[in-house]
Amino acid sequence: MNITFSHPLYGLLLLLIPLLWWFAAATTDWRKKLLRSVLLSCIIVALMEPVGLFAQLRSTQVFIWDNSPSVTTAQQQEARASIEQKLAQLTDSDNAVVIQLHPSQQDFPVSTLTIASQSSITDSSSSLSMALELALQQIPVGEMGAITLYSDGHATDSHWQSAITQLQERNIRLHTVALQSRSQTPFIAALKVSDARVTQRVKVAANLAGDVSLLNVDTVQLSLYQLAESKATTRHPLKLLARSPAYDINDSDSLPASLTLSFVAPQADFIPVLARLENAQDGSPLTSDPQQQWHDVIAIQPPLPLLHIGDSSAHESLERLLGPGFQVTTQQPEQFQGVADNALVLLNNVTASRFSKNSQQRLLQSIEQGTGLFVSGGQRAFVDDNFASSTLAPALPVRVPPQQTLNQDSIALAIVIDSSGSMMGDPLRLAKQMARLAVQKLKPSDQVGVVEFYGARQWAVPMQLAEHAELIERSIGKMQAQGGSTLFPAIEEAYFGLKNVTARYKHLLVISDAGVEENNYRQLLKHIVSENITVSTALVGSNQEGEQRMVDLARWGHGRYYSINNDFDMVQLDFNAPQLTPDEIYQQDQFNVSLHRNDWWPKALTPPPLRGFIKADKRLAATTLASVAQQPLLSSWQYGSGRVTTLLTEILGTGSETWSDWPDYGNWLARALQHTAQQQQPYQMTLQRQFSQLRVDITANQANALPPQLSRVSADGSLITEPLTRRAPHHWVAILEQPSSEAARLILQQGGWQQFAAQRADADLHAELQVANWQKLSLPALAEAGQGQYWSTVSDTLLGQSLQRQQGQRAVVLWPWLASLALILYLLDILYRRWPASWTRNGRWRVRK
Amino acid sequence: MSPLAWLLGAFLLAGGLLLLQRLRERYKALPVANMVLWQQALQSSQVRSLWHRFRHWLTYLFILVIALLLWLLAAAPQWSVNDQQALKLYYLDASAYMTAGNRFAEAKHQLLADIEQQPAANRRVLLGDLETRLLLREDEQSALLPARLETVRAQLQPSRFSAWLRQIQQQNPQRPLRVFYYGYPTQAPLSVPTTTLLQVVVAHASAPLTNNQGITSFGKQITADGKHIRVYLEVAQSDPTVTAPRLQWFLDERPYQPQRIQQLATTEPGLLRYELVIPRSLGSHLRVRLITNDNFRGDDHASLTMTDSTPLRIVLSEQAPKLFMRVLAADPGLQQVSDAEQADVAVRRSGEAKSDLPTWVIGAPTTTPSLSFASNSARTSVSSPETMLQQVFGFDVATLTQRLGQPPSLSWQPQNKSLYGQRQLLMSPDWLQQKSDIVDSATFPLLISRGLNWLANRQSLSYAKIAEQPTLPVNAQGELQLKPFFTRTTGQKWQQQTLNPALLEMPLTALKTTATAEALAAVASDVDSVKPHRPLANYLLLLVLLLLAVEWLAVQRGWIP
Repeated sequence: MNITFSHPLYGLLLLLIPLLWWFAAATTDWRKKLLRSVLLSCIIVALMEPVGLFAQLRSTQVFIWDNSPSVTTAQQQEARASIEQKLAQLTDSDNAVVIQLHPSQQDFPVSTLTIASQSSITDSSSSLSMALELALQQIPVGEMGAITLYSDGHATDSHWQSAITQLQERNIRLHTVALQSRSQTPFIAALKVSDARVTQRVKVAANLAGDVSLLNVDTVQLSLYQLAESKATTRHPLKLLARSPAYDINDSDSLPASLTLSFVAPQADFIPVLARLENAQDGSPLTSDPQQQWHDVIAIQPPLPLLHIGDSSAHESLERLLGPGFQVTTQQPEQFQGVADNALVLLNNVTASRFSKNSQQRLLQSIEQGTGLFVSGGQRAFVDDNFASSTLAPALPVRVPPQQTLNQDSIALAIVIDSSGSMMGDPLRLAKQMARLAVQKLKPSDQVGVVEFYGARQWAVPMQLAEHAELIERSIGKMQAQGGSTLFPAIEEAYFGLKNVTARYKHLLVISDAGVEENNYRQLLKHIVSENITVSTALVGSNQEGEQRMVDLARWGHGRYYSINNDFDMVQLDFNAPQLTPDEIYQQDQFNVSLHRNDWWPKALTPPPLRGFIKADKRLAATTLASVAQQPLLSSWQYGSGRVTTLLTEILGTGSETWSDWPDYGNWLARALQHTAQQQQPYQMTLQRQFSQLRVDITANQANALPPQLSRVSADGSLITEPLTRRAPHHWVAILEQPSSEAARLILQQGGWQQFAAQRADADLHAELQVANWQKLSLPALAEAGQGQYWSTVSDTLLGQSLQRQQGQRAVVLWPWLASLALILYLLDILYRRWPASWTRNGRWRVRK
Repeated sequence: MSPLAWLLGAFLLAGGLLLLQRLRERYKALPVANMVLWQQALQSSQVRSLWHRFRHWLTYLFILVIALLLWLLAAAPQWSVNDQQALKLYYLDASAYMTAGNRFAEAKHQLLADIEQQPAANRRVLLGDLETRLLLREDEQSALLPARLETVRAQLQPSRFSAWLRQIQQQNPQRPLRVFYYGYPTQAPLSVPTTTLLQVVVAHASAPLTNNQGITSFGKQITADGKHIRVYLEVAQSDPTVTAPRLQWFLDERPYQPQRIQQLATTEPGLLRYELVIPRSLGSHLRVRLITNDNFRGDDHASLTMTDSTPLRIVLSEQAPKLFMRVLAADPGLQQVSDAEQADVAVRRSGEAKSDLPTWVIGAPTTTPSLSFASNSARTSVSSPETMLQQVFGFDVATLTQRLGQPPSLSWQPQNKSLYGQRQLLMSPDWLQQKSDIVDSATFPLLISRGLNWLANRQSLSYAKIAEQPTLPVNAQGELQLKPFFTRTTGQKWQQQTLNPALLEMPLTALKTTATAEALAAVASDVDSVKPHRPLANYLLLLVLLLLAVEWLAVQRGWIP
C-alpha cells in the first residue's frame, strides 16, 4: 500500500503540536495532553489529504448493446437480460459501462452511454465502429478490461480499423455475441456506375440484398430517376432516365445478384439520381420510405477531346456529325505540333506529303504512350499520295500497298554476228556464246533474228519468235568464220528485218572484233535510232584499234558497248524492261457493309451501302470491325499503349456520301472513335470518405505529369479550389472537410483536360436496415482478432465467461477516516474529562477533578 | 452517508455530550466537624452527577459544534452532480509537437498540479493520442494519475484534438462541456468558438517551435523504363532565408551521395522542393536525414522502401503446369514454396481446390487462347482488357498475337465482392502448349513473372507516411490495413512494413509557429481560468483545528469546565 498526500505542506502544522503541551496547566493530566495531541494530529494529517493506493484485482467491463432496429426486439431483450446478469456478477472492484447504440427507456444500473447518429440523412444509422472506439475509451490506461459486443453485425459503416488496432495494441479482449437480425425487405446494397462521357452510354448495376419472401409483388424492376436538387431536404424526381427489365421473382427463391440498366449521358455534369426498386406491374416503389431508396450522384465526364487533322472546312460538319460527345479541335497537317491533351487524333483524308515525317514520328510516339489514332481517307490519302507507305504506315492495322501490274512488253532483237575470218577461234566462240545467252533471256513472245556477215551477209536465223530458243541457238552454233568483214550491209539488213517487225522495243546487237570496213555508220545508225531501234555493240577479242569504232557505234546507236575479251567478261544481255502499272485500289460501286464487333455498337445498326472504299489487307493481329465485299473497311488494333483504327473510306466524302442520310452514322462513328480513344485518364482519382472527412488521392498515370488543379463544387454550385499536397512525383493528396449529408463533387483539371468525380452523401455509411450480408461485420472473426470468445446465441453466454482481472490500484481517500478518528478521540477526551470517579489502587472509586 | 443518517448521528452526539456536560464539577457547601467527617463529606458529596439542573449551555454548544463539525467531516460531504453541470475534460495532447524538448513533461506536470486541485466529480482526464485514451474516470482519485502518466509519452503522430472534440460534442449534445487543453496549441484548440455548451480553455500552452526545419514530403515513382526511381523531397522551414538545407542520404544504411539533386520551383515561402533520380539497382531502402539545430527531431528524417527485393513466394498445386516451375527456378525474384500459408500467390488448374490467395488459374481449353482478368480495384481504373494486358504484362496484343499465332481473347472476369479485391488470372491452356511459340520464346518467362507480380499486387508505398501504429501492415496507399479477417475472403496478405514514423502527415509545422506564438499571447489569460478548487472539507478542518485549539486553551485556563 502507498499513501500519497495532496497537500503535504499542511504537515508543517504538526510542528505546532508541542505548543499544546506548553500552554497546558501544570496540573493537567499527561493523558489529556496526549489525547489532545493525537486528536490535533489527526486533523492536521487530514488537511494533507492523504490518499491510500491499494493493490487490488480489478477490471473494467464494457458491454455494447446493439439495440438498433435491425435486431429483433426479442433478441434485444435477451441481450439486455444477459448484460444485467453479468453486471450482477461484478464486484465492487470492477468498473462497468454499458454502451447502447440507440436510446432506450430503461437504464442500466451502471453508467450508460448512447452512440450519436453519424448521419443526418439516415437518422436510424448506428455505428458499431464508434461504439467500439467509445468502449475502448472507457478503459483507463494501465487497466485491464474487456468488451463484450452483443450485435447482429449489421455495421452501418466500416471504419473499424482503428478500433481493432487499439484492441490488439492494448491487449483488450473483445467478446462477441451474435444476435438475430430482422429480415430485410429487398433493397439496393450498392450501385456501380461505369465511367462515361457525354453522349456515351452509362451502365448502372445495382447490387441487391434482402429477403425476397417479404415481397408481395410478382415482378421487380430497377428504375433510375434524375433528381432536381432543391434546398429543402425533399427530392423531387425529375425524369426517368432508365429502367431495367422486369425480374420475375416467382422464378427463383432469391433476388438476382444485380439488376442493370443503362442510359445515354445527356450532358457533362454531376447528375443527382435516385435509384429504387419498383413493382414492375405498376411502377410503384417497393417501399415508400425515402430513406430506403438510393440517392447518388453520377459524374458525366466532359466531351472527349479530339484533335482533327485535316481540312478546316470539314470542322463544322464533323462537329455536327459527332455531336456533343466530342470537343473537336482542327489543325492543318502542316501545323501539327503535338497531341497535347487530346485523347484521340483523327487523320481525315490527309495526304502524306502534307504531314511531315517529324510530325508523323511525334504522333507515333504519342500513340505508343496511349493516344488513340483514327485514320480515314479515300483515294486522296491512300492512293494519290501513297499515305500507306509513310512513317505512320506500320502503325495502321491494314496494309495498303500500291497495287501494280507487272507489264513485260515485247522485244525484237536482231543480232549481227561477225563471222569473218578474223573471228576465227575464240572471238567467234565468244560471239556465239553471247548471242546464245541473249536469246535465252528472251520470252517466247519476243522475236529474234541473227544476221551473219563474212563479206556477204545472210540471215542465219531469220526474224522469228523466240519460242524455239534451242533451234535458234543451234543455228548460231553452226556459224563458221570465213571471208571478210563487211559490217555496213549487215547492219542495214538487220535494220530492214527489224523495221517490219511489230514489237514494243527493238534492239540491234552487233558482235564483232571491229575489224570492219570504214563507212558512214553514223548516218546509218542515226537513221536506225530514229526508228526507235537501239544499237548496242560487243567487241569480242582484243582488238584495241577497233574498240573505239565499237564504242562510237554504240554511242550513235543509243545503246551500250560491251567488251568481251574472254569468258570471264561474258555478259548475258537482258533486253526485257518490265514495267509496273498501278491497279485500281479505290473501288467504286455500291457495296454492302457488314458490321462485326457487337460490343462497339448495338446489334441493330445496319449501315446503308457504301459508294467507295480502299482495298487493303488486314494485318494479322488486327480486328475487322466492318467489312465490305470481304475486304476490311473498319479495322483496329492495339499499338503500344494506344489503339489505331482505320476507316478505308472518307468520313465526309464520295465514298460515304450514301451515309449522309443514315441517321445512325454519327452515333456509329462516335462509338468507333470512343473505342479508339485513350482509355486511361491521365490521372486516377480515388475518394475515401470517413464521416465528415473526404480524402482525395490523385495519381498521375504518366511520367513527368504536371500538377493538376482540384476544385470542389459546393452546395450552392460555386467552385472552390482545394489545395493539393504533393507526396510523391506522381501523387497528390487533399483532405477535405465534407459534411456527410452532402455529396462530393470534384473537378480535376490540367491544361485543357478535365475529369469529374462524384461521391454520394453518406457514401461510407449504410442505412440501418440496408446492410447486406457481405457488408456485415464478421463477429467470429472479430472475436478472434480481439482474442476473445464468440457465442452464436445469447443463451450460450450463460455457460460462463470468466472475468479477467489484473492487479491494479485502488485509491481510497483517507481524510474522512481521519476525521472519524478525530471525532472518537474528541469524545474520549471529553469523557475522560467528565468521568465522575477513578478506580484507586485500593479498589475503590475516588472522586476525580 | 445519507443526510438522515448524519442527522441521526448528530442527535446521538448531542445527547451524549449533554450527558457529559451534566457530569461537570460542582461544589456544595457542607458544614463538617472534623477530619473524619471531611472524608465522609467528600465521599458523600458527589462532584459529578447526571441528576441536577443543566447549566453552562454555551460550553455545551461550543463542544457540540466541534463534534458536529467532526461528524460532518467524517461523512465526507460532496456537492451533488447531475448531467446539467458542465463536464470538465482535461485533454493532454500527446501528438508530435509535444515530443520536442520537455514539452510533454511540462504539460504533464501542469496537469497534475491542476488536477489535484479539482474534485473528482464531473471531471475526466484524457490522453490525446491517436486513440484518445482515458487517464482518469470521473469518480477516480487524482492520486492514480501520476502512476498512469508515467506509462505514457508523446508520439510522432498527428493531433486528433479536432476530431475528438467533434466526437465528444456528438456524444454529449445537451451537456455543457468545458475542455482544458494541455499541449501545443495549433490552430485547432484556438479556433473553437465558445458557446453555451462548449468552452475550450488552453490550460497549458507549450513553448512554440522556433526556427524549425522539417521534412514534409518524401515520395517516389518508378520511371517508365523501370530502371530508375524518381524521388521527391519537400522541406519546410520557418526561416525563409535558408535556401540550402543540409541533407544526409543513406541507401541500405550506407552513406549515399546522389549525383544530382534538382531543386524544383515553388511559390510558397519557406518551402523547398527537390527531385533526384536513383538507379533502382543501387539499393532497396532510402533514408534522408535533415541536419538542423532545432529541437524538434520528429520531422528530421524519413525513409522509403525503393523496391521490395524479397522474392515473391508462389505455391503450385499438384496439377499446375511444370512450365511454371521452370520459370520459378530461373527467376530470382520468384520462389516456390510448398506451404500455402506462406505463399503470396497460388497457381492451379481449374477444378482443383481453391485458396484465398490471388491465383493464376489454368482453365479449360478454348477455341482461341484466352486470358481473363479479375480484379475489382483494377476494373475501376481500366476499362479495356487490352489496356489491362499492356499494363499487366507490358505487351500489346500484336506482340502476343505474333507469339501465339493468333489473336488472344481478352476479357474481364466477374468477381465476387470482397473488400480487398482479390486478383485472379484465368488463362486457357493453349498458351502453354509445347507447340506454341510463346513457350519457347523470350517473352514467356517475362509473361509469367509479370503476371505473378500483378497478382500479388505487391507495391511498396509511393510516399513515406506516418504510420499510426508503425509495426502494423500498411497497404500501397499507406493506409492501415489488417489481415481482412472480417470478411470470408481473406484476400491477399499485406506486407509487414515497418515505417520510420518520422514524417508528419499534417500541415507544415514550421510555417505555423509564428502564428501560434501570436495567438498564444492573445489567449494567455485563459490559463487563469483553471482555478484551483478548494474542497469545503479543507476549510472545515481548519475551523475544527482552530476550535479545538481554542477549547484546549479555555479548558486549561478554566474558562470552560
